[in-house]
Amino acid sequence: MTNTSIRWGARLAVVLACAALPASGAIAADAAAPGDTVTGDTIVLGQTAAQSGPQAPIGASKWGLEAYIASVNARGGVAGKKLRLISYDDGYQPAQTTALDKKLVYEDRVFAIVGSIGSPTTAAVYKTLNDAHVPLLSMGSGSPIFYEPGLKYVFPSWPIYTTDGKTMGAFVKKHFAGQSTAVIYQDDGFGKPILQGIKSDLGKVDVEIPYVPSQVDFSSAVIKLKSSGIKVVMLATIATSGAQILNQMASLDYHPARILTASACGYGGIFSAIASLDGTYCTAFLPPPGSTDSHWTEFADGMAKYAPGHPADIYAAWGWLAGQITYAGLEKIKGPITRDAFVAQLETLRNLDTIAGKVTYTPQQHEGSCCQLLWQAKGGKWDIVPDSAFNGSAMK
Amino acid sequence: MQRHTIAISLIVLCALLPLVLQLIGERQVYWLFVVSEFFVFAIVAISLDLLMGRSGQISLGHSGFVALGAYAAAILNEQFGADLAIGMLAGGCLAGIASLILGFPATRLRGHYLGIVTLGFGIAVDQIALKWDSLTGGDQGVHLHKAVLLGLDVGTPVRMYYVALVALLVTVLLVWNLTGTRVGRAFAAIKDSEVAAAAMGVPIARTKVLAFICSAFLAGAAGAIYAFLAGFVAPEDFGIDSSLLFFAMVVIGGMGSIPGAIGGAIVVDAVKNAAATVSGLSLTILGGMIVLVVLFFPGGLKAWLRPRRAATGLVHEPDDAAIPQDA
Amino acid sequence: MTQYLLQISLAGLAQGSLFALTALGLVVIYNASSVVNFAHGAMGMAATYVAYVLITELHAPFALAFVGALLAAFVLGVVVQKALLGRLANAPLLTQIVVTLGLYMFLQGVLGMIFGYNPRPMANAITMAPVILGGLVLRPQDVVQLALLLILSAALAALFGATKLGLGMRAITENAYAARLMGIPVGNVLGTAWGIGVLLAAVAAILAAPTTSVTPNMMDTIVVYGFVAAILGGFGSMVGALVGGLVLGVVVNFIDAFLAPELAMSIVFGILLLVLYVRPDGLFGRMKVQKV
Repeated sequence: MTNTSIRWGARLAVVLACAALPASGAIAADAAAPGDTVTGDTIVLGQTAAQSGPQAPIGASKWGLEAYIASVNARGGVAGKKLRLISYDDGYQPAQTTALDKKLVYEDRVFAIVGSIGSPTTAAVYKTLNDAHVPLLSMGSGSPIFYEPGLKYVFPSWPIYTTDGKTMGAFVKKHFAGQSTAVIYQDDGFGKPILQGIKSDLGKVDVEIPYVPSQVDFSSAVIKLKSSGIKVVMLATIATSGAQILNQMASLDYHPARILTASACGYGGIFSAIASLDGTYCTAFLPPPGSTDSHWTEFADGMAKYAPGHPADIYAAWGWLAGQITYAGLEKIKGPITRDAFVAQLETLRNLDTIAGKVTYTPQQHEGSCCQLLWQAKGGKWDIVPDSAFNGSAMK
Repeated sequence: MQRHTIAISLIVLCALLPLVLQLIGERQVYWLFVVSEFFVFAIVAISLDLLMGRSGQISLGHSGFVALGAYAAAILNEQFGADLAIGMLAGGCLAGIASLILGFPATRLRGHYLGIVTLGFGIAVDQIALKWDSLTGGDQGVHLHKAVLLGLDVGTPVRMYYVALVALLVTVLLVWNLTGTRVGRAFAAIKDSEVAAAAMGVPIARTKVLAFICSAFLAGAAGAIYAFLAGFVAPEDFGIDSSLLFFAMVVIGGMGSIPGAIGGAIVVDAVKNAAATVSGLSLTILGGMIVLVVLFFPGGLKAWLRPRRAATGLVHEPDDAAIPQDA
Repeated sequence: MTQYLLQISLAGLAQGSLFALTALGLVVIYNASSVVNFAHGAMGMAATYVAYVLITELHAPFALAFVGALLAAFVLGVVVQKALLGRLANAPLLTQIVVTLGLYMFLQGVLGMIFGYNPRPMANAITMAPVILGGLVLRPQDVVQLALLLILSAALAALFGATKLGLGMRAITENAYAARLMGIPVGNVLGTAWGIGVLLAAVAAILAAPTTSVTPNMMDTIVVYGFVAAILGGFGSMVGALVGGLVLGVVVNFIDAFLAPELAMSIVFGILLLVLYVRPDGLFGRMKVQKV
């Protein structure tokens, strides 16, 4: 064959493809996703969570979810079926999440996507999943976009991020009234709503410092706050950055009142290396690790039994929470287990008792958990600060 | 000869794949997506090969160009309902113009400086996309609306598949035809020896810049297609990891060759998907493959499969006085 | 205000010392073998994991773990040079860049597989309280970093200026063929150069570890700034790398404090482009090619 014939061949193929294009409407795949009704004796759930890359620690929620599912199966399952989880590592990259969710829905035919982690990652898929009528539950995010009304198949379970901020703001207003304040916040859909929440409750904040997770040095930020004489510093950060900031403060002999956001207080490992963690506050919607709260001990026992080797920390607790909500939606289904039946049952949940407090869903509002409180670090463990509960519910 | 028959058969196979996938019912949605994504990656790999393999320059931040194309298409679609054709054009042009920022340093910098500068470019695009959230939505990203191409609705998996396939074929034809032209020969000349090329009257600076522009344009257009394919664009998708993957595709497949770039894309994509369950495994495998290729299979996969063909290898026989290898 | 600026500059010098150490390592390797080691940060990171294991598994005191890690780094450098770069001595520039990038990916992947991606804490070995000097806070770790940088630089200067090894390295840079003819064991000298270079990267990484925690990606940011510092310094001049690193550290801290920390790297690269446009060989480039 010669050069010319290759060219002809290539052109032919291009023409073929172009001709196929309009005609392909007839053979296109349809909108509603498969897996709508559970046949067989297993309900398959899907999850995407980073297990690699800088966001790997929070992907530990996979183990909490696995442990919960194992505990349910040990009790005989739910609605007469066993549960099974398929969890993929998306490396916290939305492109991966998109591809993996397609795999979960069309290849693995999961019933629902449960406990996926991350704001940008879930943001990539939530509209498509909702349009395809695939329930998306308990994502590891409090980003306001998931709480918009009209998302029939999306059920967040965390308090919305603004509640996190309002809890901080209300606490500061009550206990540190009149003192100079600052907020260090992650410059994205996680940190910014928290900042907004703080400001909506507290009024103004004296210094606002944005950052990105790839930053490793916070000396200038801390120096700036110290020289401005800021007395109260609120951190809307992830755990690794929060730990670095706390370390920098100690090393620069700067000891303001420090309040961290819920996601920052998770990683026990890092926090064990922080000099002078004592006195630091933390907003939370879970009981403190190691507490005697029955919700927590039940979770810790479950982890020890079904996911030994994985610590019972707040990231795993997120997964446990996802499991609890899924169970609550499934257990009351009478008749065939379909996605619409599942959604209908979820919308009847009022003050469901979970590890994250009371969870409520109505047909108009898929709010999830309403409330947060504060922990304080004392002598190497976290204690609940009395009288710090805040109800950020939109449905008060 | 045989090679051409293979090429034609592959093209026909790809054109018929969706019909075959009909047999597996709705599972085709996932597979069509995966293969469409692969076509887009192949276009980027070819564009990078144009720069590295055919004109001897280096780009460690190529995802930056893809990102620019993707964002251009996504924002135009979200704000103005622009269709894919406009998206590709705008994306390609934006990336091409941005490449001028790199093109001029490229003409003056030694190889590894250029590598670091392109690395910085990739990082800068990522950071700016995250920071400029009034335009790009920051980490919340941009959701695209209807996927339309010149009035035709291409929002279904099958149609996007064909769009991606045709784009790949067109890219292959363009780049392939380029080699025979004056510009293509100029690229090859500066790759082999700048001094010799200059002596022959090749305008070095202009040629280098042109290589960057062409490569960036293709990558940007590919980015636009990707945006429509995924329906969502966010900064996390275009970081250093992404640039390194494209880099791996070109190296493993064999530089200076279109089948090499495509083959490399197949290998890298396959490894990435297969090794996804164990964190760090795909990086280990791909890194290891790159090292092995450089040491033992210069010329990449392509040369390994067809040892008789004179490969545009990575290791040249030294023409000048050979420095004896140390024992 | 002056105090604020001084504090920021001080913090900048401390951070810059890490960039300078990284840049020095890059330059040592480059001077001897004309290769830019894109796996530099990853190799330093690997050595840090060695220190981490020594501390947590074998309960070694920090000093011992530090030395152990540096030894491991040196060996790693030698091995990489002998097994990889040595074979590619005649290969074009692109090839060498490619192989070090492949090595970078490989190291990150392997260490990620072995240790996982959860950040491992590394306690600060220096537990002394900061010294307050007239409102200015002097952190002991900053002082140690700077001191270590200066000591190591002096040692390098002595090595290259006054020892046979250093002489050998300079000879190889001039003309490797002639050097071999003169009886200089080129392979060993190159191996040693790589060993020293990676050792410097390890020092930077271990010093950074208490802040960044030990993860496979820990050196990613620092090594990029290290490259920039080396380029600014002319990629050949040790003095350039030293000064470039320190200056860059201060610049970055000022950008963090007064502009936008999220754009720090972008701004730095913009500055780099401008510098290179005016002086394509870096600030201390061809003009001052004294190999220290």
